Amino acid sequence: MSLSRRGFTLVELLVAAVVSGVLAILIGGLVGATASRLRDRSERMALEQSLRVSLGAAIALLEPLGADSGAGPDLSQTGPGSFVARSVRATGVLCAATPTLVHVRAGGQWWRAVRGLVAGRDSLLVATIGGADRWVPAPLLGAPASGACPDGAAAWLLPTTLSPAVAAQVGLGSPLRVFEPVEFRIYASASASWIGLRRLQTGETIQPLAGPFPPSGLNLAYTDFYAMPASGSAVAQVVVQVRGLTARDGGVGVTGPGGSHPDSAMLAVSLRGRP
Amino acid sequence: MNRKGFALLLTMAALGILAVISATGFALAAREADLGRSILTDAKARAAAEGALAEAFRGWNRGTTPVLPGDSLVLASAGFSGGVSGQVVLHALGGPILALRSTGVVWGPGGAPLARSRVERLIRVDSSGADSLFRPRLIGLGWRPIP
Repeated sequence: MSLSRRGFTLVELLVAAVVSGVLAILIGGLVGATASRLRDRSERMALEQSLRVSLGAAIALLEPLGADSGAGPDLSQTGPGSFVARSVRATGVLCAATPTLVHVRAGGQWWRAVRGLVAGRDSLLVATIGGADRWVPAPLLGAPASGACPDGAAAWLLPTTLSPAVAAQVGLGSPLRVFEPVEFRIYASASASWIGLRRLQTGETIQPLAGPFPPSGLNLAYTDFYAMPASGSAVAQVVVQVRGLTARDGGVGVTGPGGSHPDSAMLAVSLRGRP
Repeated sequence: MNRKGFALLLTMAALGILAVISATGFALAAREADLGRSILTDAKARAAAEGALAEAFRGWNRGTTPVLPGDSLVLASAGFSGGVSGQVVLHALGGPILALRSTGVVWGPGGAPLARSRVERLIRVDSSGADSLFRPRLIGLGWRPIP
């Protein structure tokens, strides 16, 4: 052992320990507060994203809905926590129609679909080109087949049933919508509220779209043209209200200890074609 | 005298922790800014599409209305500040109902589109004004083509 080395004195060690302790407390407090703020900010962003997803799903479902009388309103059932609506699966334009078959122009410019059509699950709405503006409902009775329009262009042939009077009102240039009924529902699971969708024709269980939200955080309301509460065929506007809380209790610098940060959003969508 | 301390190590560790926190903060802020910018550009594109559509509804010369299925006519092109543009094209479907397709685009610095929004409305050509301009009648039926 070298004799030129000597240890620290007790005073030196104590001073070093005190200085280190003070530094550790200062840095620890700073680190803790900053981390808490970052976590809080991250949770608020997650909540905002959840609100956006909820309203985005509602917009996607509600925005295309019409309320014309020819085929009945696209919003077929309304309840305090759910509604049933026609959800568009494909759109196209007819080039010909008979009482048993409609010819729909094929190709990207004309035919847009989110999936293949399924008989019994999907239904048709054909716009009339003669008389008043209205959509005529018709069943899809079989799988689409490849064919041709009278002008030779490629077409999808959709088996259906149209009365002779209706067949005379639709034809070249009639817009077509293919839809299936879906249920938009607010449901409770694990002491929280969720937004879910369910395809009625397949008998599936509800599929979660967005959540979780507090038990009273979701609300559906229906109003008429004058923004008064309405039901059934008088509904002209659907209002979706979403209110959520950040997951963590207490946000440093935001709400103070003991409470989560609340945020909310509201969406009001008017049905098209409501007189 | 050869004294060994730990102040340097302690300082380095503290600086490291602060650097990690700062990086996380910057990343969060950047993510939030990106999210906000994305929403804003989407809204701008949608507004451009709606604005161009409104321009188209002022009317056009009836004789230029496309008739054959697939025929089209550019009705209006609008430019807005901030690299935003909108264009409306009238498409013949083959009958008295036509489609007005309006597209709004927000362009980035390199000329690439940052956001694009499309609005489509069905109109009927069974009415016209006393002048040579044709003013479409919007069909208020539920119609939204799947993008």
